[in-house]
Amino acid sequence: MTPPPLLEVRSVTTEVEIGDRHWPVVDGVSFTIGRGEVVGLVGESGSGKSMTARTILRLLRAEARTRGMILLDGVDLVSLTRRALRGVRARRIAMIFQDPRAHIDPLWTSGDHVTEGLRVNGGLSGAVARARARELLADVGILEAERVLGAYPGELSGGMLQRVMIAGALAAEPELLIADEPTTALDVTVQAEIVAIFDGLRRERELAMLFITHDLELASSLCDRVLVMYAGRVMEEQPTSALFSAPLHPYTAGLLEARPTLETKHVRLSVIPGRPPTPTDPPDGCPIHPRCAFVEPACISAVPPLRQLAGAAFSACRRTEEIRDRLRPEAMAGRG
Amino acid sequence: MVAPAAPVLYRRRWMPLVGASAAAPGAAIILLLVLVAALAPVIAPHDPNATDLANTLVGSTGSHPLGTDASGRDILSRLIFGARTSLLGPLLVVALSTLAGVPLGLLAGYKGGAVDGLLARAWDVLFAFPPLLLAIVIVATFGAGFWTATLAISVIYLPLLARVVRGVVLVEREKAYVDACKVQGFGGLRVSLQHVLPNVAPTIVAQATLNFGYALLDLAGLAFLGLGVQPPTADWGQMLSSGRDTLVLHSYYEVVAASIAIAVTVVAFNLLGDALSARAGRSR
Repeated sequence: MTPPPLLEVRSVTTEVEIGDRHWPVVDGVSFTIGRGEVVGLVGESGSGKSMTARTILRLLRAEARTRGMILLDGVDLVSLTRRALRGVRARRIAMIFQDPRAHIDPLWTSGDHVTEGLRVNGGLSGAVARARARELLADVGILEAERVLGAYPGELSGGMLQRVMIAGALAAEPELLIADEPTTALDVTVQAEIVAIFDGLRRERELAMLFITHDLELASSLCDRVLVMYAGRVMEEQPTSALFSAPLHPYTAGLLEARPTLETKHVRLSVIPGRPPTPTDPPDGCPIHPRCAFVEPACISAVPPLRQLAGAAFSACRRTEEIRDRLRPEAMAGRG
Repeated sequence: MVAPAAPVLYRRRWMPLVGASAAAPGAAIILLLVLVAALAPVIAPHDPNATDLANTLVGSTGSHPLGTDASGRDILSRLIFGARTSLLGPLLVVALSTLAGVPLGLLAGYKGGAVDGLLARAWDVLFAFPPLLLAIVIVATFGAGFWTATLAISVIYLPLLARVVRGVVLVEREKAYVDACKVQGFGGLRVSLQHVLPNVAPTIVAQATLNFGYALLDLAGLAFLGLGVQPPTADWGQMLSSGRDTLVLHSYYEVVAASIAIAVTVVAFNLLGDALSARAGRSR
């Protein structure tokens, strides 16, 4: 028997108020994350990746509504009391964000930032917390720990600040780290360093991660499994290697096709025509159908659910079995 | 990757508050006024309350540069001693209204919802009265004098400050670092006091500085009406009142001197307050 997952997200829908009514921005999303497992969440901007992450930690505006269950070791976070939720946030699930400069209080030194959780949640004294902060900074590859601890955010580079934020998130020794586009604001070389840090963390600490990105390469280099989101829904879920070699959903195939590669020389990058729908204007049926090359009338009449095709392979495309051979990267390239 | 170390001056949590060059003229005048008030016994040429009925309403002379008032008291000395009550009153108003207004504004802005609604109604009630009229009612009820007047004006300034604080907190609480704090499991008290408040402090200080000037005017107004500082204590507003009676005798020194003192002080605080506001605006 497989051990129960650390986190199980079960048919979660989050609606936020836009204009005068509530619209779903996360729509019936289900997935699991096992201990020490890294799950990728990829998709275009506005596909609901970040809202899914924020829903897990209930970091939503007061008027937002969440339905479904989010089980952390069997305990439902959706219905948790505020007090218990604070405990989960303080000790079990940590989150880091895209823009470290905006997410660290500008008036606090990095040292204050990293040690705050240790002092407040861990009850450590100032000196002990500071020593621990030095270790944490070393863990995320900061050599001049003492200098960085005394520096204000305005005095540090973006890459350095992101390391500080990661160090702060690790301080509580969480079981799950939610990383919301943690490298998007950084340049490529720093990105690679940060990814190496994550890779080290999952190996050394068995830290489970929900890694949100719109960069497929990044997801492939780090994640065990990848979920592809579109318009608030999961389109496909597969183990990383399978997702890249044999996508099950036309949308995933389109995303893979739209990547620039070093091997083939592109005159123009292929694009998926059209643009994603807004939450207030969802198309009928399958949300991707206006942009899909494989659309047929039945796709428009009903929303296709996410189906399990094999062990860890899920697709929300009605025609997966029929068209999967045509979705392989080599077949897509030939379509050209 | 570490930027060169910033000068020591900037390595402070309250750093946005210091070193405002545009605030210099206002700050210089205020500093001078504070020195005058503090050193009044040393620099005043005469006892401010010593009457000399043989020399009433004299013009500018060697021993009385600004002349004397209707009781023969030296106007310059009264002006110098008057700086004490005239500055102390607004200082207390600003201190009291800040002490009560900041927590209430922070509570309303950060909590929002029913708490915010309740406080908003309370302030609406206070705003429903013309401010000076409200102060007059309070003073008339509890008796005229420096302390009642100061308290009355504080009550008026409390909602003004609280609303400003609420407004900036509403903006600040949406900032990303507040989410990052919440996600670490910190409670509202910690986030609002340790993170939000220091970040909005520059705006609060700027507003309090502006309020100082207006409070000085209001207190002078109450003193002028005989509801504030009582004679014979030297006070600029009170000097306006007593000087008014002698205007008919073509003795302008007392009124003009007190008016200029009030105007210069208010302008100085406005200069400083505006400069601080601009700085607070830039830093957010």
